[in-house]
Amino acid sequence: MSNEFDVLVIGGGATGGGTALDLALRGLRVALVERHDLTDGTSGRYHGLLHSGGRYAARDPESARECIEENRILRRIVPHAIEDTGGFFITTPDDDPDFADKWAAACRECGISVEEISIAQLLQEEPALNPHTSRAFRVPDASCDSFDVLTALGAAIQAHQGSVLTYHEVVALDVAGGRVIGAAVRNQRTGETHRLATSMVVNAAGAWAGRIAGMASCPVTVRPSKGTMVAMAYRFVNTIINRCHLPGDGDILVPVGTVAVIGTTSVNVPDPNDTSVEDWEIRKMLDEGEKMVPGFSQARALRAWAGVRPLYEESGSAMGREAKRTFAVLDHLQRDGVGGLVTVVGGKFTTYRLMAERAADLVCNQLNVTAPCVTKEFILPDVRQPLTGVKPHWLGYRLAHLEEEHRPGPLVCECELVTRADIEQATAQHPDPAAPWVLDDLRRDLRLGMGPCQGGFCGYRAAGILHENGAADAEQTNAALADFAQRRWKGQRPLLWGQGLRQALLDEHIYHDILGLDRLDSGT
Amino acid sequence: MDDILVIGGGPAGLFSAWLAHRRGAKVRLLATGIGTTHVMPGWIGVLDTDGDLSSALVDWIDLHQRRCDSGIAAPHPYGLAGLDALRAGIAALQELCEPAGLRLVGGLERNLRLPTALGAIIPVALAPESFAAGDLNRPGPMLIAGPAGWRDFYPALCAANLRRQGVEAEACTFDLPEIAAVKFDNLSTGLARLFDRDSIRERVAAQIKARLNGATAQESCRIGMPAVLGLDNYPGAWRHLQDLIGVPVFEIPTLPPSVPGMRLYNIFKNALGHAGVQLLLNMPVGRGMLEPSGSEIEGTRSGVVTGVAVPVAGSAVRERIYRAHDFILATGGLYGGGLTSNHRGELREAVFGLPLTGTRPMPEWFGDRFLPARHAIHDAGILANQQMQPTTLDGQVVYRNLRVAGRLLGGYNGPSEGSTEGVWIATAYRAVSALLD
Repeated sequence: MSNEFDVLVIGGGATGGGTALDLALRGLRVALVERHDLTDGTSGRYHGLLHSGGRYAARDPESARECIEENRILRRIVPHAIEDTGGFFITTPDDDPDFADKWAAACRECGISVEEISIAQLLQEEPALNPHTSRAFRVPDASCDSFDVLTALGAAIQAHQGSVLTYHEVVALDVAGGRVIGAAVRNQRTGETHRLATSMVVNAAGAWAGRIAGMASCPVTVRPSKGTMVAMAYRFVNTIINRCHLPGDGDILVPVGTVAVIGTTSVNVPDPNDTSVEDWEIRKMLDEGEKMVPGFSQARALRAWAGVRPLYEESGSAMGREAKRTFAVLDHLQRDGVGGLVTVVGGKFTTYRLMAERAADLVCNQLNVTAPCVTKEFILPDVRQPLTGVKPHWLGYRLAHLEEEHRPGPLVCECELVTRADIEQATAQHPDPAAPWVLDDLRRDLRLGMGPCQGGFCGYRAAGILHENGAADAEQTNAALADFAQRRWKGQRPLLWGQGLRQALLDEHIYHDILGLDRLDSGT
Repeated sequence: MDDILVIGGGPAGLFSAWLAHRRGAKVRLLATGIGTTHVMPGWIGVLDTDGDLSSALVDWIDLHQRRCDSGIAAPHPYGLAGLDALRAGIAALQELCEPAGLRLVGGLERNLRLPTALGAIIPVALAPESFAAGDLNRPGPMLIAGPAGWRDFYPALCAANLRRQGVEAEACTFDLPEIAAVKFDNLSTGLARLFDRDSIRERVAAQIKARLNGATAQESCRIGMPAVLGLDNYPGAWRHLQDLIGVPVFEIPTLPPSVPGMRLYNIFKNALGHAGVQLLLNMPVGRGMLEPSGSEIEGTRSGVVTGVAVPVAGSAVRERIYRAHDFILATGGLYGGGLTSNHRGELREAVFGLPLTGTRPMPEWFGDRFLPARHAIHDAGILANQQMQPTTLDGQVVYRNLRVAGRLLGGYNGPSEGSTEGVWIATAYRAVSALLD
């Protein structure tokens, strides 16, 4: 591997991936550096909503305009990751009835198409919704799989001579003569640290951007805001549901694959690594869900997780929901007198491409590169085997694949229809050949273990396959299995009651009583 | 009217029903469905210890008695049922299983040390004869063998982990094209039915023998295979395979459904059937008929159960009533459905709403680490006296003619103690003895 690049992009989320691709498409030699796997940070921990902008129209019209424009672009350039569910904004009995008209006017002002529909029509399309809803508006929201987007970005970067260095953590920036000239990165697997030389660094570390900028003595204050989401075991709705009020906790319900995700909370946390889920957050999600879908809190909850928003305002002090959701591109030469470093921070998943474009523009400007941004027109590759006329997010996609024998072999994960061939293919395609034994990476690639059994059956099978194929020795396999089981546990732990609790006890029975994983020295 | 009505179709309920029948009672069993026999590994764990098992049990019961006397723990089911009930229960189970071909070997002297599918080593008191050659108290090399490409058993991983613990183990696979014929879902039951066939065993044996001929020290070798060596033809299928290969063959349990557990279930089912004991599945008991009425018993006088009601499928109001002199409740714990939980953190015994011990606030039910499994929720359950009658927290008998057995009892942590099977054996035996002595 070469140790010299034109640009080093730090952060394997949507912003970093988008920036690295943007630069690679302009002919620069880029490396994307991520301390874990792609999407391990905030990008992989969101609810899956591709915003129409409706959510921000009333309070933050600039964000709303960015959202609707990017929404249209992403539908064009990454169609395989987007399910065109459409969205509804609904006025439930718990929402201010006067808000709807003001909100609809604000949306139209921002260029977001809003169509009011009758409650009869709403309930015909979405029978599970609260029948006491008084107003309903259709907006162009969509459901977007961030894992698929990042997989596509990673593949495209590599196809354009870029490097994707996952499991590499930046431990220091090298500054000389008032300029960042390289970085020291630690390979998380081997523990070895080596230096990469570069002309420019883009800091796209999201909630961790302050830490990276600090390595070059540039003060950047990111306010990490934690949001908790709960995936329910049922796809209650086929359309994204938003409460028609100013953004609050638990007022978005997103259909994703076989489940529905409710989100979120907004809690300011000092540490961006804090993705803990608190009991009150779970209760809040269930209570708020009940207002949209009666019976919600009695249904089985599958998994809870939290992501940390990287809120940023250069001089403002607004926190949480009050903060604007726009983004900033910081030129540290102008701002702090440190050359070779650009920070892109704030924003949201929906606007990742725009953020990348602005950051790349600044980089190119400083490097005297005149090639224009082409990401608005660059169709991202679908690395999966295409199936004519069928979109991957469609519930029957995998089944259709299986039945048409595009993907032969035994089912490893019955919940998400993952076969042995899928696992072997994903292992072979992994961007870092040294890193296939993190089973959680396979989860992001294949949805392994994301269904109702939460890894009870497929974990052992996937581990056995990795070991059998020589991807990991026994000790590494045990550790990978224990790590996978623990990660699945973290998401179930706040939701253990009723049928979900019974499932967790079966998983415990399998791992502890039948397999004895925790009796192996590397198994806990 | 029946003498005894057993509620629950898991191992504790099935065993209770058979024991009560053996003592001459007229018995009937109602169950929601098949119970945990179909997920059990198949061995009999009594207590997780490497030393002398009998003295460890005595110490364990003493320790818990002291904890109970000082008010920090509920009485342990072993303490309530007594070691004699455990011994007699094991003997009775062996007596039932042996004529049906399932010989349970081992005892309460020293645990067997059996390999798991992952190559961990688990200490258990007894196991089916077809598991016994895997006992690691005995030296000798192992060859772990499984069908190539089968999703539920990985011989190489099993052998590698055994090697890491000092066991001389190698791995091999054999071809079984019939597996590939089933495209996606190859369950252990499907494999077990294949091994019921002579021709399959002959083909597999020939492949393993060919592998053995290339190895050194083949006479002292033993072959470990997934626990799928025959279902209807067990133990004949296992024994035949062993004879064909010419060295001891042992089974290793793997992911559910459990073939060894299904063998045990079939033995119970056949024994009850021959005895004329009705085993009624799809009969979820909805509530108990109580005297005095209501599930709350006031004052000191305890009530009686006069019958149980099963909702009639398809009707919102109709119920079928079953009456008996005595009742044994063996509906299982939170996994089995004998105890229920909800999102408000409430735990409830599903049929009678019996008092529970060991309940805690919901955030304490489970620990932050999945493994090692020491979650506090396992300690929750019914409080009982030495006659296995459910009691209130201050020791009052709730219903005189009701006994409890198995996983819904509180005061023990089956997974971390390794006592899951021992407890259902001892408490079922004690419940029936207390009723019929």
